[in-house]
Amino acid sequence: MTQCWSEGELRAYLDGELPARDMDRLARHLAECMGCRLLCAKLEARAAQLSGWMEALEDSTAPLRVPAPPRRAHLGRWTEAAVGVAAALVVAMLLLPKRAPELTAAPRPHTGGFHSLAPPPAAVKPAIIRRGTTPPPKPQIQYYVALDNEPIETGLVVRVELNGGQVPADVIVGPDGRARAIRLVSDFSGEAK
Amino acid sequence: MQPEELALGAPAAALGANDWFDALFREHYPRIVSLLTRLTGNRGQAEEIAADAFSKLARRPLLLQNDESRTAWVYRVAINAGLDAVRSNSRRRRTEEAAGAEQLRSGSGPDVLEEMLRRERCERVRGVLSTMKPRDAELLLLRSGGMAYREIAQALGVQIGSVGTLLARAEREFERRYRSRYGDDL
Repeated sequence: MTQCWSEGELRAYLDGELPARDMDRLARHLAECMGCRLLCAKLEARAAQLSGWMEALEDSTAPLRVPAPPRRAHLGRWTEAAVGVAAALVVAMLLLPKRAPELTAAPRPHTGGFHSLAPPPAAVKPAIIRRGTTPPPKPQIQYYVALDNEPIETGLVVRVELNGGQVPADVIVGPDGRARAIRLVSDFSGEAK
Repeated sequence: MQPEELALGAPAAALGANDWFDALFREHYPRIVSLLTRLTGNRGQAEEIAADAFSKLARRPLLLQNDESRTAWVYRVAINAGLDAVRSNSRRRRTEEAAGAEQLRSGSGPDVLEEMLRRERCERVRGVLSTMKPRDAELLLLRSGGMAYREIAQALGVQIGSVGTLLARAEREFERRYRSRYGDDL
């Protein structure tokens, strides 16, 4: 007797979803295996029962008119250019060092061979010179993006690499092994981007 | 891979970065609406949920790198939202159906009885589906909607060879839950 087939293969056989060669082989096996015949009959009866239950849900409403697909957020060319220029200006303002106003040296008092009794000119108040250092960027919180609409109660955070190892990301894996949420990270040190 | 799969996969792969979304929408939006309509019993709500799922996909295309994962993702988001809707609809639906049943009682004839029974069956099936794992519920809806195993595998993001196993398992689970709720009253 040939080897028995799995439940999944028997189910696919009932739907005619096995490759033609396997359909023939399974049919020959059923002819000689009582166990598989019984299992097949059980699966068939259950499938017929399910079909009857699900028929109640038939969509009998009018044919669907497919609307235009939702547009992805897209800025116009001029808007993009304006945003780019504004961003460049902001970056330049942050990065370029700010110079203090140049201090002109006060003219030396003419001594002319005698000591002037005039009070010395008021000392110029030294300006505070800002160095060209930018403050360290505030760490940005990178939120997780949910991959489905189910609430996440427990899960395990797993570091993965996407796009051929170029994009590290943290993935929250649920107890059932499904990925539930993801966030991109900047490097492998664990600091969020 | 079968030749027909190659033929089906080729156009999507050849599409540019801006075209994949439209192609995905045109191919799967009607199917998802049909699936959700059968699940929720409300075409308007089904269209709303489907459109929302595609809008979410449009906002996060970089997370999903290929057509297979995008398709499976949008089906999963839609079916989860549909199951949520069924759960939240159930109380309102009971009230509406009680009112509807009262109206039907005032009528007479075999059509009225048949309609009452049909509504009762719908409510039971939706109630059982809403307690199942989303993937099992999705699988049963896709199969009962007439989709082939290849299309189901694409929608679920699984290998075509595992669809039979998953389907047998989901059917057994549905039957178990149905019988534990309603006994042998079919």
